[in-house]
Amino acid sequence: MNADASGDLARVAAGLRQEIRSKVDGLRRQLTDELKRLDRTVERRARETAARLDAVDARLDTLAADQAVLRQHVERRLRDVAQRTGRLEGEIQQIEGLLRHQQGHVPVDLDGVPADLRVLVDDVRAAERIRAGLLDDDARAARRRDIERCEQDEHTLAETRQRALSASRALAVRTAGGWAFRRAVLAYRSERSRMSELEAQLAAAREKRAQAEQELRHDAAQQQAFRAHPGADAADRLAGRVRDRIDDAVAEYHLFPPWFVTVLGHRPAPTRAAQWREAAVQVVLYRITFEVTDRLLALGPPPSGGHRLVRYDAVQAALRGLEE
Amino acid sequence: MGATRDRLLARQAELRVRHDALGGLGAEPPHDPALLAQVFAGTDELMTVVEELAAATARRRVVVALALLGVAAAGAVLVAFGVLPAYWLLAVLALLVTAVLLWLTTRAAPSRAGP
Repeated sequence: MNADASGDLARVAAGLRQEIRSKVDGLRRQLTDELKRLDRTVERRARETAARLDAVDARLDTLAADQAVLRQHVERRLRDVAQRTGRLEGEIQQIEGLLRHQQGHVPVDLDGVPADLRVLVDDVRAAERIRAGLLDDDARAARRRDIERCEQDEHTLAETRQRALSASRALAVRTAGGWAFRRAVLAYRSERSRMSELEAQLAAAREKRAQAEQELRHDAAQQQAFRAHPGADAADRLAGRVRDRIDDAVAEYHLFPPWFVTVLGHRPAPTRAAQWREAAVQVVLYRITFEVTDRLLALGPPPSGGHRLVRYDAVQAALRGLEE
Repeated sequence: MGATRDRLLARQAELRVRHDALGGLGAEPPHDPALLAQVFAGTDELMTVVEELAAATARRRVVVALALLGVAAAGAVLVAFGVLPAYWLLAVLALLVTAVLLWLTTRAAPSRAGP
């Protein structure tokens, strides 16, 4: 191959390279333009979609608010209807009671104690009187704390006395006026003063401990007496008898006394008859045990404290359970 | 002063005897309450003598402090009238500081101890 042919080939190659490069550049520009156009389209569509989602969110919020308002409205209406139903039920019961009263029906006597139950009730009342004298858990814990505090004070006093004794020993054996002697003077002065304070404190604590121990002993004896008393078991038997009487009264459509009706109504609701009966048994047992004779208040006035208050609260809780 | 110190030593010896009676100097609880009460009574008596000694010492310290104050005042007057040269004021100042320190440490000492 001569030099001219080589030069021609080189020129052709350069021309081809130039052409390819220009075509690649053109394609690159075309692709870039296309990509930019696609990017703009995607961006526009994303904005549109976001706007639509915002609109959907706003609609959902509106719907939720409307639903909450509607729910409140429905609940209000339901409460209203429940109140009206309760009033109507009460009025029906009152009319029923009046009618029965006019027909000569006498309310069933749940307070009275039949002769066959007299011994049982006396046992229960006696057991309850013993239980009324028992300390409650808080009182027992307080007495135990008194005893522990006294023991702790005794321990502290013993330690302080021991330190004072050590200082006294140093005073007895160290050279008078020396450094160790003067330190012992300071130590003894401080410990002796603390000892006097603790002794006074301990005297009061011992009195409280003696009283607490006496009360705990008495309480233990009372607990023993309560456990041994036949009345503790008799309460269950009496509850069974009261339950039978209430069942009979409901089955026979007897008229219940006013104190019973005010808290339990004339008849149990079908859905919670068992709960109603247990609450009724508790109310009647409370009245019999504590000899409550109030004609309107089922449990009489609230007691001031002691185990009777615990029983009172338990019965009230059972009655509240019926309203829920 | 000597008499009080003799009393202190006598009380100390008596206390040592009571400690021995309690069960020796290495006695461990529980102690006999009567002997324990005797030990504490003896220690309280010893403390009374210690307080008397401390009170006497405090009185002496106050007297010394007042005397130092008087000497310092006299020195100051002498310097003021030119009898003594001015550098004597340093000695006057030192006396003053010593007197004040003595006074302050005396006031800080407890006036009475024991229950």
